[in-house]
Amino acid sequence: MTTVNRKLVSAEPGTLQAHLERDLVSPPVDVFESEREIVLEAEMPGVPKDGTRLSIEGDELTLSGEAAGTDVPSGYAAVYTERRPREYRRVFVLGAEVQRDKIRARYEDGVLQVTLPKAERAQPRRIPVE
Amino acid sequence: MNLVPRRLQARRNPFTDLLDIQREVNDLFDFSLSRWLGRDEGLLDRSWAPSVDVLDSKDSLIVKADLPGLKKDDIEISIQDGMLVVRGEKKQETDKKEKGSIRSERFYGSFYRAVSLPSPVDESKARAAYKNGVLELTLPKREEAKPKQIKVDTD
Repeated sequence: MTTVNRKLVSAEPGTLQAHLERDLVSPPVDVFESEREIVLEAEMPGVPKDGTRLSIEGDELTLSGEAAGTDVPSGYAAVYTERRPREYRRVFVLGAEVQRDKIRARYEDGVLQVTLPKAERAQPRRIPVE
Repeated sequence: MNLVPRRLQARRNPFTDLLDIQREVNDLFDFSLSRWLGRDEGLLDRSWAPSVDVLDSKDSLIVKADLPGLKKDDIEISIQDGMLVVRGEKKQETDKKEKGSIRSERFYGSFYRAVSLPSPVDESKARAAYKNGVLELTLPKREEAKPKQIKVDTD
């Protein structure tokens, strides 16, 4: 499975402004593969669960999430802030063996875990010898 | 050692302050790798020190740190001599070993970050929460550290 990391220019109209205000960050991702499935784990701390997004277009799977950075509550002043508002985004190219309709995802503690089951025929089958 | 001004003064460049603080603190503790690199975004730099925000109000301090994928027990928080230390170890889950690892970009292992607190705080009232991979600490200030109004007597 190839990993494609897209650059910052977005093709969607109206989002260029949003990208200028937020950093576009590539989240670190671990990839695991077994006979049955491929699992991706992307670190996106600061993204609320409803801020995570998973979309497929053709062969491309896009993981993204928006993290607001620290909004300073009233009465507070920032001494320093390193956690800027950011958008996490990572694009993967899916191989033909992935069953797209069975993809599932879970988000916990800042980590988005995506499970990509492989098609039945891609799994090694044992043929009994008589 | 006055590392951070008590009140936010006119907007100075926070980045050089940050580098100075980080360098001074790391010189006190030998085992932090991030002193060898310039200070940059916690996620992207290869030494494992989380990005941190420090907010100040008259009653308390808020400190937030990006620490994704941990359990509460993996995080150790301590305050001593006006320094907040957040440290711990991020372990790789063992069930992952059954699957083959194709790519590993996430940071594992020990992490460490020391932050100089601009005011003394009451440790017994400190509260910590961990949500969406972000550790948020609320540190109420000690009574004597809160700004006091001084009344001007008129004759």
